[in-house]
Amino acid sequence: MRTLTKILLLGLPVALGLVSAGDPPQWSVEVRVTRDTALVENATITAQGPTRVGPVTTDAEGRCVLKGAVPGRYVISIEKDGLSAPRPKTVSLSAGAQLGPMSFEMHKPAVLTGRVVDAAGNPIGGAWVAAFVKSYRAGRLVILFKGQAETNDLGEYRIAEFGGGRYYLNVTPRPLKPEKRTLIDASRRVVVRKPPALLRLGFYPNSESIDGAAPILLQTGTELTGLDITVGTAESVCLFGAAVPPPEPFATQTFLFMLGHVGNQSPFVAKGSVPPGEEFQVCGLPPGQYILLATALDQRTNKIAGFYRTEVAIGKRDVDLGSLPLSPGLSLHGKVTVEDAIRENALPARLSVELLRRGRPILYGENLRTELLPSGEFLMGGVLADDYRFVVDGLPTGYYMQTAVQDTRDVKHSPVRADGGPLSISLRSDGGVIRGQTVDKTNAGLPGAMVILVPKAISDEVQVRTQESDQNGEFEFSSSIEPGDYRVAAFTGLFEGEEQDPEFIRAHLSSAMEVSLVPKGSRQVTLTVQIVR
Amino acid sequence: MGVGDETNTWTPPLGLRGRRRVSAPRTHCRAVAVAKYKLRERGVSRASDCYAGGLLRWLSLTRMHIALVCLLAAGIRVIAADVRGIVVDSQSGAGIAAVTVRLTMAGELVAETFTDEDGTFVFEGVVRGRYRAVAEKDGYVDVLSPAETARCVVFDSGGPPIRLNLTRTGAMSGLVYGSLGQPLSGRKVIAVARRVSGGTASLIQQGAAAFTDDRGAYRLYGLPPGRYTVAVIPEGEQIGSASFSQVYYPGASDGGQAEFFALKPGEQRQHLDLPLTAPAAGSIVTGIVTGIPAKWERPNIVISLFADTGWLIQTVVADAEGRYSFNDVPPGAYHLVAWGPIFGWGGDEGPLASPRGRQGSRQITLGPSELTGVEIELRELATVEARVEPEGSSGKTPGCSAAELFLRPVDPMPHASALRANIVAGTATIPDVPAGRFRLGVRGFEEGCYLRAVRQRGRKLDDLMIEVNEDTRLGLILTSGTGAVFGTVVGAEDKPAPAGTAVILVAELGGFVEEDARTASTAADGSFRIDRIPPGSYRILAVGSVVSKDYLDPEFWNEHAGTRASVEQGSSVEVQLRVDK
Repeated sequence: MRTLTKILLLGLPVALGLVSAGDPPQWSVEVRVTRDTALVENATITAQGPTRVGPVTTDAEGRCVLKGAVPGRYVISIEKDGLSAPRPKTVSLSAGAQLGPMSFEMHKPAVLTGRVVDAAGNPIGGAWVAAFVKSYRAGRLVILFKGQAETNDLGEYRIAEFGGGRYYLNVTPRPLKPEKRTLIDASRRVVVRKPPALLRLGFYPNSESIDGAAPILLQTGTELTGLDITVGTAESVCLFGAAVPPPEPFATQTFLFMLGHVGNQSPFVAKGSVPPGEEFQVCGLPPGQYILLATALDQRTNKIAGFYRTEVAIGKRDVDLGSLPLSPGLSLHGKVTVEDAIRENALPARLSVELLRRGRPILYGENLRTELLPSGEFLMGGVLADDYRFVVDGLPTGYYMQTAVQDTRDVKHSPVRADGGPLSISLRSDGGVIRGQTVDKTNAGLPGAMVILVPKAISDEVQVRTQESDQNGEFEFSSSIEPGDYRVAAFTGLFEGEEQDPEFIRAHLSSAMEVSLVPKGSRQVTLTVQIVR
Repeated sequence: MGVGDETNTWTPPLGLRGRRRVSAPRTHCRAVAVAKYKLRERGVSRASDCYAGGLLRWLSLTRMHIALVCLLAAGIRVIAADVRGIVVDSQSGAGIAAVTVRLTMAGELVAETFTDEDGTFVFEGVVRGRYRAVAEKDGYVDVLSPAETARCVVFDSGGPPIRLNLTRTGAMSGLVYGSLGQPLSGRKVIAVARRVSGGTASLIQQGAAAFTDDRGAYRLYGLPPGRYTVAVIPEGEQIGSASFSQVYYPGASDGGQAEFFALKPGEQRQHLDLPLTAPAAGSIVTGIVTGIPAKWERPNIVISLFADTGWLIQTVVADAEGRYSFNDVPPGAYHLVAWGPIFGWGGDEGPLASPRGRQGSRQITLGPSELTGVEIELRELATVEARVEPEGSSGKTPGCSAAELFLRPVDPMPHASALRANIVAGTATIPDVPAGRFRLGVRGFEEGCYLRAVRQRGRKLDDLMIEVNEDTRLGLILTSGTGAVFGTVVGAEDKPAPAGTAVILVAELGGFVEEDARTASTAADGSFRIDRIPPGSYRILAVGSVVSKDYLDPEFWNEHAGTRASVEQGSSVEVQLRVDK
């Protein structure tokens, strides 16, 4: 009777549908957020991993609990207005795991203030000052903007959005506005004489190039003042052209953007709408190298209907580009196959192809991602006539990209274009796994260390993979790891983005531990963490 | 013979082979055309093929000489001259360097330059004609401008140097703090001025808004000198953002209780602190936007909540089904405007709408309870086409040119400043006009014209108020016969006021807005004249110098009586003024 009672009691929740007999138990993580010794209420907590959990907010005790059903590695991050977000933490959560309390310490944000002036010391108002960190992707400089502010009439700016780190400051004067080209008639030429224009890009303290930008080391919760930036001037000229959208029966609206060359998120030098097919002018441009983009927007669908990109060198004379024929939106199609597939349907599910743009911001209406069909084929519409890199997202353990060909070109490490023909991507499933633990000098597991994995042959365009060790100091590289020779090491005290810096890689990874991986191989390593600073 | 490039069809005289029409540019003498015809008849298609080519070349040379004679005979005289001027600080009289000066004719840019260190500028070799000059520089404003841009000075090229006045702008700053004295960041603060438009007094936002930083500090700058208060207004761009009651300096919830003060040229007024109290008991407003076209793949509809004062309080984005909600809205009267599709966010400009979009609006009154199911129907934007109509039996259209037609919405709506178009060849077209009520206006006439009435659907509207629900055709009844006000100004001891004394004229009814104010300066004998004044009732005041836009504040005219004048059509009114202290 007692046994029957137990069975009924245990089975009743299942019978009522409260618990599925097959559901794994949920994991939970308790989080506690403080600032100095005070508890932080209404901080927002999110966990990102196999699924996204949250956001949840802390209570008056500064506590909250995250719960999830899918086990795996998660990155937990904290946010609250007016406080600097602490560094996220990585945790590995199995089904039913109960972790915590995990403590996060928030701080008053660090502040950067100063003035933007011209060479004569006059304040420059309406300019945008941005704080950024340098990072790299495949050896190419990538700018990560961390905060920005507009100068007031006194040229003053104040950025108060981040924690400690190594930052650079960039200033961009108010973007120029393209306007309709003004010509009365051929006999009366419009004469536009503008005062010396501010250089379109300036870096703290007074460089025109990012190479001359001085780093600013910032401690959490501190305020650095007097970070004055001097922006030079030069004689300016006008740029003329006419953006001609593709002939379509529907109405389009055309836009013009001009960018300076600053990594992948160049600030706008000029931006605005231009009349389609009519001449425009942008005056007040100082000498320099610029990227010019023109887009046409289909007003029915809000998708890009035309695109044009060119490099422009501005010197001491006006530049007339003439007609800028916008290319219509294109489609990129292709197919992903698994070369060593044993069965026909060996293609992993939920794979997607993502395009990475080159040196410009994403444009409204631009499509950059598509999921594969079960056959492995994909068709991505709304792709601009521009160069892209690409990645295949969602590769499970052991899978990696072996080759990528467009037409007959190898595009695994070269740009792809939507008008370059079908894209053929070949995967293999015999990749390996490198896992291990980061430890301190006493051989105890050390959580939160940055683990860096690079190919043994370190080149300028080195592909850097990184992982943060979890609460036990454990890490695992299992996606896109093709057989071969690697070097791996673990560090703490890195500036944000430093782990991707080719100079850092060469200096610290050239003699790091070597790991060789055979097809379907698995290696276990123990890394003693190196403290950089 | 004449000069030009028109094509003239000429029939060769009898006697030539056949009768064929010969097209000859009017610049050609008929003899040349005949010669060419005869050569073609003989199979000579190129002048170089035949000795007659030499004849033709001689004739061509002769043609050029004849053309020159024609030019001279037409009596066209082209004289180019330099246009010189100076831009000065209205207070100190000192020249201002690096001021952008633009020269325009008939609304088109002719030239642009900038002033030298002493404030002087020159446009070289300008063809004789009537131009406007506009001066602009950050940190300065023309307080006598009829609009936000600097005042235009009409002059003839080759005349005496022109003088443009600019006045330094001011700034205001302070802190926004909460009930516990804690700094509040990210709060929107605006400068507020009093104006009268269409006979209705209102508070308007002046200049760009500022947002408080991490210390709760704000700074509003670039403000024309004048009378202001400051206010913090709630703003959110996401569904569910909390809102606080509006607060006017130094802590009033009603604009009528706010403290106004005079901002002088170049003044940096500080410590204008604003306490934000806890949220007033607010309610929820929910509803749905209808009329979203199915072909819109990305609806991107935004709904803006405007206060009765006309400025924006909150903006939310509708969900995929067009539903929206506003939380914590204090009781009161509001305007809801739904519009889209938007294609981005332009910072202080707010959502950027795609042309050929749709818009709809509703007025609501919110009490203590929630308001649900507020439907806003999107309607297609309309096109307003206006055509100048002849006045009276003469059937003649006044020779008014180079003017701009604008629509001023009666109810709040986004991007209202874009509703304007130039009148070209007697017509103007304003696209993308949302449904609603508007007051018509025309500015920029050079001749003595004014907009007397507007005709819509056969009805003549003297109050210039129109309603747009669909594509609309308007008749602009323009009339010449503006009037003038002239007279003398006396100062101390009843002597003529010094030269350059400012005279300000505003319309009595709905005239305290930029477009309706007029100014003039006295001559050495104290005389002045203001021409091209539409018929109506006005108030006039003489002041030593104008260094602020106080004269646009209706309270200013409560403190300074001025003189009233009534202008009839085509008539002039003489007044005697005394310099107001």
